[in-house]
Amino acid sequence: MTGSARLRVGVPGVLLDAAVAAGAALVSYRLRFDAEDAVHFLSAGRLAVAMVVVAQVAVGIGVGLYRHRGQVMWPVRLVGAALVGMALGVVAAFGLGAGEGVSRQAMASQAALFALGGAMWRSVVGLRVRQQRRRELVEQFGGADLVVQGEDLASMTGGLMRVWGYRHLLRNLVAKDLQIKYRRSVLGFAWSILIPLVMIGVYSVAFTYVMAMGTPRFVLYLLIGILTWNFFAGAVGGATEAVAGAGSLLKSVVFPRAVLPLAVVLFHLAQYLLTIAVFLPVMLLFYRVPPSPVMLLFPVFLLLQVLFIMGLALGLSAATALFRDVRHLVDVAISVLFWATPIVYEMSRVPEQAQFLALLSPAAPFIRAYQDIFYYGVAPDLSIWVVAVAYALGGFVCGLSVFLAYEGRFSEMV
Amino acid sequence: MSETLILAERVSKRFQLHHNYAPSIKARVIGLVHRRQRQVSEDYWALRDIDLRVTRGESVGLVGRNGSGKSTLLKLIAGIHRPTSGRLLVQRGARIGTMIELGVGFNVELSGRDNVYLNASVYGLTRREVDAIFDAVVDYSELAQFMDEPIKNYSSGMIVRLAFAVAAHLDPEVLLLDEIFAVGDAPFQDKCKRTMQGLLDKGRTVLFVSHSATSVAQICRRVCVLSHGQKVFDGPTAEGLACYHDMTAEAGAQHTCVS
Repeated sequence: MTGSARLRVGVPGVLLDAAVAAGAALVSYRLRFDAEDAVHFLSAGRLAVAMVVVAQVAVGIGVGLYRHRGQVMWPVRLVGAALVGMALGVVAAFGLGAGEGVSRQAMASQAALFALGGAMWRSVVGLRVRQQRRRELVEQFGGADLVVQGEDLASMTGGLMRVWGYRHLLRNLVAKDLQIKYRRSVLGFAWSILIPLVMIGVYSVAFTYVMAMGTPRFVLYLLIGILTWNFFAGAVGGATEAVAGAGSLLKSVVFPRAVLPLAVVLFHLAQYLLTIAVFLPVMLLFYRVPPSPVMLLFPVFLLLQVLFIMGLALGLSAATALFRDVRHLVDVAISVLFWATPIVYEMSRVPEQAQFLALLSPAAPFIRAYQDIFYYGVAPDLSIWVVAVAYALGGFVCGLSVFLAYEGRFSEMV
Repeated sequence: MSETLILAERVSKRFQLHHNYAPSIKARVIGLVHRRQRQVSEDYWALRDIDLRVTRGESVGLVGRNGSGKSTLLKLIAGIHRPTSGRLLVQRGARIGTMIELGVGFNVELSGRDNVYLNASVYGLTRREVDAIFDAVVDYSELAQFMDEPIKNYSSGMIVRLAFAVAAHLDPEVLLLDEIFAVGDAPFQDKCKRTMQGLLDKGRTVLFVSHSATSVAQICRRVCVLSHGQKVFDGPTAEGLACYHDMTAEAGAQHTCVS
């Protein structure tokens, strides 16, 4: 599929990326500051923003992001252009004496959102290109009753429909994992309760007595973060191996490969829901948290979180099949991100300048939303909504399209 | 002329052999800048310009020495690998079943029953469809009293029997088989052959990769001989097997057979 993964970008791509970069900067400034401050900082930093946008596109041109050939590695080029371009733009702005309006957090967020936005339109365009090529191939070769083998591959809805056709496999795989996890153990499901209980106990002692953080109702606070984190880390860590570890299956049976990482995600989702269903009511009763209408937002954020995790699982499992380093990167990232996410500490303890940056940590918008809903009893604010929705949609679209683009090669790569 | 189910025209498949291949990001990123330092990989053409037409109800044996590309051809037809060039067409909506490896997706911790459901769903069957064939599968495998036992307590022969029982009841229109019943004992092999004969009697189409001249002679009416990724013979079984026999006798020598 190497050949068909190429995009025809060029000048429209440059313009589109420039628009995405500028939009990302506007959104970032608005999220970082209040409406009034944002206007103030933006007008002071307009030269810096312009420099960053130009530098990102220029670096993109330099590394061949808009060339017609060799678009297989576009994710690496794109992220490189976003980060290097942002850094060069900021340096250039300081050099021109326009460093006043530069907000480091807003710029970091601009680079992240630019990469996400760029990846999203490339994913969609890339799939359309592939679909078009397949259609041409079918028209060229296929007769009325003969079709090109594998013709249905590589369209996003087609990919999802094929997974739906194999929903019984998905269900059996999840059931198998649950069954194997608890069989032959005396305590069975109790282990799923005991392990987070021990973690919460250790962190409670450490942070309440040893480090004297003095967060009220600390156990409830910890519980929300740790259970959600365990879901995130378990699902992403497990799904990373899902394709690379299924060698003989991939080489001997045809089925939609996306079933493999999705089954891992659903397995961890089932565990998460079971533990939440046990712990949360107990905690809410214990701390006498009154039921409130904001709790109805829980399923909304849960859906966004599941979409995001599915996207990550699809993307990372495909990436691991192609490069084995990815699993080590994921392991390291997971252990670093645990401390970069407000789980054992409150967001208010993060220096104010870094709070918005902390929200960009992958599990953070969702954990913050659940903390707002159950612990603080308020509706999540705009920045949490924006980041959660961007992650969910961007992550799912990018992850699925990367997966579908390389699906045909897995049988040769593992 | 009877209905075409599979049509391959000038199908080639190239694999890339990576010497000391370690797929790492570092190597790829260096490769972005330094074209010269890109990984050394060698192209290996597993198949070259294969033409093949299979019509409904045919039983075709694919024979050839190790590495001749017969399994690769089967996997291309199944849709597991994609051809590098050429066109490979299959009938719209034809259900193509594969028996390339038995019992893939079996989990030793699960019972025989659960494994039947899991294995059949890998092939795309719904729960209801498995319910419908379940009793027949159990009967065929002769393992009724072990159905609730985890299959790690099965002997390897029992596992193969169970796996083949599932595969035999999937009932696809086209069955692609890669030498799988070399593993069982003689009665089991006979049973497999009877089952395949039964499928052919029902008008199913079978493509069969094997080294065993007797199995091919019993099942197939037509034989394709592959050598170094190219088709060197396509025709009646007896002549095809004779050609294959000559070829293996003159080990290594390029042999030309006359179709």
